[in-house]
Amino acid sequence: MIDLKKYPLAHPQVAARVVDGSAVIVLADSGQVNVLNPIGTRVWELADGTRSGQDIVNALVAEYTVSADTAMRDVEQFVQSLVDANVLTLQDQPSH
Amino acid sequence: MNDPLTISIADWLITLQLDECDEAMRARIRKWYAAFIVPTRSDAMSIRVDIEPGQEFIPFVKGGVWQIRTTIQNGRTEFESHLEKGWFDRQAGQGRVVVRPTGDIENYLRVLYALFCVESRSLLLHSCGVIRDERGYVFFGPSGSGKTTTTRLSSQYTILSDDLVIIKKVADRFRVFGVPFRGELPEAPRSNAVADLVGLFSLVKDSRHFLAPIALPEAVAQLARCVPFVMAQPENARCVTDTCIDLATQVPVRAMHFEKNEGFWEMIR
Repeated sequence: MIDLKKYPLAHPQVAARVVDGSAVIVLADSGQVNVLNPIGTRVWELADGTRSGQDIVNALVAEYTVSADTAMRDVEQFVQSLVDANVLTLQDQPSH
Repeated sequence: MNDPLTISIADWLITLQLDECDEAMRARIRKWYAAFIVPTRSDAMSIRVDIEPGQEFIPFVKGGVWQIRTTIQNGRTEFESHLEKGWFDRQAGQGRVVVRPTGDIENYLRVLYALFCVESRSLLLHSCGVIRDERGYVFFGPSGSGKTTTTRLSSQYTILSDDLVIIKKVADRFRVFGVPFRGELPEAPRSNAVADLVGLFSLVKDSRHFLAPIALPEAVAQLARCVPFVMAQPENARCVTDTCIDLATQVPVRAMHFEKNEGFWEMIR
């Protein structure tokens, strides 16, 4: 699982647009095009390199009716899956 | 000195300089692009076509997929496939393609037109295009989704293509243009025709005919999956995605479940 102290950021090979509350993600490397659900889209929006994984967990707890433990587990799994798919990268330091 | 040949596809003009081609290649090009030949104009882009014997540029691999490699840097596109290799300088409006004797210029032209589309917020889309009663319909989907079948079942109408069409925004309306590029149905007519686009249908083979709505994000994704050649560059992919959003916002996109008969046309108004 990812280290929640790291800062997720869009992979440079990704093109993405949010349409009607859902992110359309294009992986230029492979040509794959995927659509994220609304909560996945919110995580995608928050993963802008300025927030750590823990910041994203905190934001979801504030915005949705979800416990901190559940949000932490879901963010870890989801961000890890996006990192594995080259949709996100993880940085040690925040972007400015 | 042979006369150059100018073709117009979706109103983009290219003059093919065929001096270095043999008569067989010239005749083949004239035949394939016959419906798209226009009088030569000085403002057309120019492509020199050379035939050169030699080894394959990218070796064929038995059972492998057909490979087309493109790179784009500073407005210059480099193109390479098994039997063709070329470049195109967008600013100069000039290019050159070297073709092995058994090759042809089709894939090179497909890539160029796909790039012209990106620049002008248009799409070269893997799809079957049909004009019925002066209205344009596009049936799209990946390989195996039924584009060729849909083409065969629409022979009473004007077929734009069984494989690729250009969708271009003209005066705030999306229009669908025929292209000369060939798919799995070499005998299908390829009309140099154009119509206002009134419907986009994502093909789904089924045991009955019915239309189903597609949410906008999924419609955008399905369209983007059918745009060939240009998605490997993230900036192009963003541009294509924006065009798909614009298109799917203006023109209805529906899933068309269909069985193998022309009855699907009864659902389309």
